[in-house]
Amino acid sequence: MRLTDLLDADVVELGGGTLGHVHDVRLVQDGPPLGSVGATFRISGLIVGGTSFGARLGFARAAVRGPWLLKRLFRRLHADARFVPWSAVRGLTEGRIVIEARADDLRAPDPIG
Amino acid sequence: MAGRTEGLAGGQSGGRSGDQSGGHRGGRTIDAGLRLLDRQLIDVDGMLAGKVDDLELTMPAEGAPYVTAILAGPGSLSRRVGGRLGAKIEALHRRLHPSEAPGPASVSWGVVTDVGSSIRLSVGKASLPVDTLEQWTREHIIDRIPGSDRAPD
Amino acid sequence: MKRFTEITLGILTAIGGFVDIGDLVANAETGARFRMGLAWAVVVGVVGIVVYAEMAGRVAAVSGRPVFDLVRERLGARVALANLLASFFINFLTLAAEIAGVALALELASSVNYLLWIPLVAALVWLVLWRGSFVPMERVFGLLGLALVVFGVALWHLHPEGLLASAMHPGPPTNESWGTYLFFAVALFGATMTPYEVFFFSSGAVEERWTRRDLNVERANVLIGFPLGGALSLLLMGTTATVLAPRGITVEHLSQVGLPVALALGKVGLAVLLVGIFAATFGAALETALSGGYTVSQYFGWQWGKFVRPNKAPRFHLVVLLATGLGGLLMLTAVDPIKVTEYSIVLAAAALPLTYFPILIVANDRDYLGDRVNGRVTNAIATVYLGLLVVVATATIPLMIMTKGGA
Repeated sequence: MRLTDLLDADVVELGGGTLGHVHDVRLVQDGPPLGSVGATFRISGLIVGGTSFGARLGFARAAVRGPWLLKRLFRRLHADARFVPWSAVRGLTEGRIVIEARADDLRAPDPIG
Repeated sequence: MAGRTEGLAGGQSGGRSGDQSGGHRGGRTIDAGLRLLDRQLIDVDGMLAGKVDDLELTMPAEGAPYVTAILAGPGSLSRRVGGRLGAKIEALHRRLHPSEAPGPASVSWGVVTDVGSSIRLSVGKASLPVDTLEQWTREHIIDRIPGSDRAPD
Repeated sequence: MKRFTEITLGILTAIGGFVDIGDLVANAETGARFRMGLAWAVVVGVVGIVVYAEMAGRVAAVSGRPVFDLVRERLGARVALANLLASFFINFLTLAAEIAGVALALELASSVNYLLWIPLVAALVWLVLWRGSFVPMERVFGLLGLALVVFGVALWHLHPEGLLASAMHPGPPTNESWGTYLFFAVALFGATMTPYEVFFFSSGAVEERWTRRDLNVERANVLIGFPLGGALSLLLMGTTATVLAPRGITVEHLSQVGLPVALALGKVGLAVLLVGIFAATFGAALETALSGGYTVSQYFGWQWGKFVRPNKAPRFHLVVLLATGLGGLLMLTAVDPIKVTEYSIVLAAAALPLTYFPILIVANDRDYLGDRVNGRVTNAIATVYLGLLVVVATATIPLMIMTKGGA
C-alpha cells in the first residue's frame, strides 16, 4: 500500500455519513525494528477533515507559530479536522476508507507531528 | 479525562486515551504528508539523492500498517503529478527500466538515519536505484565535456 | 575592502534583479514618461524583497534548504510543478533577453551588429558557469556592475530640478492614463520582486556555505545589496526624468538609456556606463541561467550547485547548458529582447505568490530555524506583502491587456 492511496481519500462512516477527506496520515515510531533508525513508523491514525486546501502547510503544528493572521485563517479553515485512530478503520478501497466511529467521539488532532 | 489533558501536552499520556487524539508516549509522532512527503533525501556523503515522492507501507496480519520504504524517481512522481504529464513521466520511467513491469525505485526505510528538515540516509547515492538517470547523464553528456571532473576552488 | 567583498552576493542578486536589460529600459522609460512619479513603486518593491530575501537566506543558511525545496515541500508535487513551469519559463526568457542585452552593450561599444555577438556571448556565459567558481564570479560581476553608479554622477552634473517634488506626488501626468500608470507601477514592483532573485540568493547562500554563524553576513548582504540596486534604478530614472521627460523623448532602445549620461559626462561617462551595463546584463544572464538549473534540480531533488565537481551534478549542468544554448538560439531570430521580457512579466504573475508563500511559512517553522524564526514585525510586514503580491498577480494580466502593454 502506498501513502498516496490514503492521502485525499474519502472517509465515510459504516452508517453512510461522510466525514471528509484524509488530510494527513499520522505515524508513530513504535513498530518493529528495521535497520539503523530503530523502530519503524506505523500508522496511528488519520487526520480527516473537510477542505484540504492548505492542510499540509504546517499551521496545525505547535512548531509553526506564525504569522498570526495566516495561522488563524488556516486554523479556522480546518477547525473541523478530526483524528481517526487506525483501529476504527473497517475497509479500504480505491480512494475510499470506511470507518466505524461516531463523529462525536472523534477528537481534534494534537498539534504535534 | 486526566489522560486526555496529558495527551494535549505533547503526547505524554499513556495508553489508550493517548490514542484518541493521536499523541502517544511510545515514540516520536509525525504526520507523513507534512514531514516525509516531498522532502529532500541526503545520502551519507551529504549528496542530494532525490525527493520522497511516496511511501510504501506494509499491512501486517495484525495491527496497523507500517512504513517499509521510500519511493522516489519518475516511477512514483508520475502518480503525484497525474494527468497527461504524469503519463509522460511514467513513460520515461519505463524507458529507463526496460524490464517487464518496473515498479518505482524504492529506498528501504532501513537506511534512513534521520527525519528532520530533510531525510538522511546511511548509504551512498550510487547504491540507490534512484540514481539511474543521473549516471546516464553523467556518462553520455557531461563527462564528454572537458573539465567535468575539475574540483571547485 | 575585504568586508565589502563579503556582500557581493546581495549586490549581484540585486543588480541582476533590478538593473538587468529589461529593467534598464523600463526604468529609463518610466523616468521619461512619469518623471519620478513611480519612484514609490521601486521603494515598496525593495522593502518587500529585503524582507523575503532575508528570510530565504536565513532558512538556507540554517537548514541548507533553498527556496524551491520549500516550494515543493509545502505546496506539494502538483502545485510546485505549476510554479516550476512558470518560473523556468520566466528564467529562460529573461536569460535569452540578457544574452541579447550583453550583445547590445557590445554593439554600442564596437559598432558590430549585436546578432553577431550573440553566439560568443552565449558561449561565454556558459563557459563561466562551467569553469568559473561561484564566489569569484559573484565578486567580479557584482563589483563591476556597480559602475552603474555613473547614473548618480551624471544626475549630479545635470542639476536636476523638481525631482523630489514629482516623487512626492504620485499620479500620472496629464498626457498619461491611470491605467498605464498602474501598469507601470505593477511592472516595476514585480521587477524588484522577481522570483529568480530569491531562487538565486538562497541557493547562493548554500554555494557560499553559509551556516547559522553567518547570519550577520547574510543580513548585511540583504540590507546593503538590495537597497543599493534600488538606488541605482532610481538614479537611472532620475537621469531620464531630467533629460528626456522635458523633451518628450520616450525610451525604446538600450542606446537611449545612455543619452543622459552621454550628455552629462561625455565619452568617459558613456564608457563607464557600458562597462556597467555589460557587467549587469552578464551578471543577470548568470543569475537566470543558474536559477533555471537550481529550480529544476531542486524540484526533482537532483544534486545541484557549483560547489561540487560538474560531474557530480550532471543534470543540473545539463539544464544550464540547454537553457543557455536555446536562449542564444532564440535571440538569433532577431526578436526584440525587450518584448521578450514583457512576455515574461505575465508568467511572473503566477509564480510570485506561489514562491513567496512557502518562504514565509518555513521562516516560522521552529523545526527548521529553532529560535531564529521570524519576529512579529517581520511577520506583519511579510504578511502585508503577501497580500500585495496576490493583488499584483491578479492585476497584472488584466492591466496588460487594458493598456496594451503600457503603450
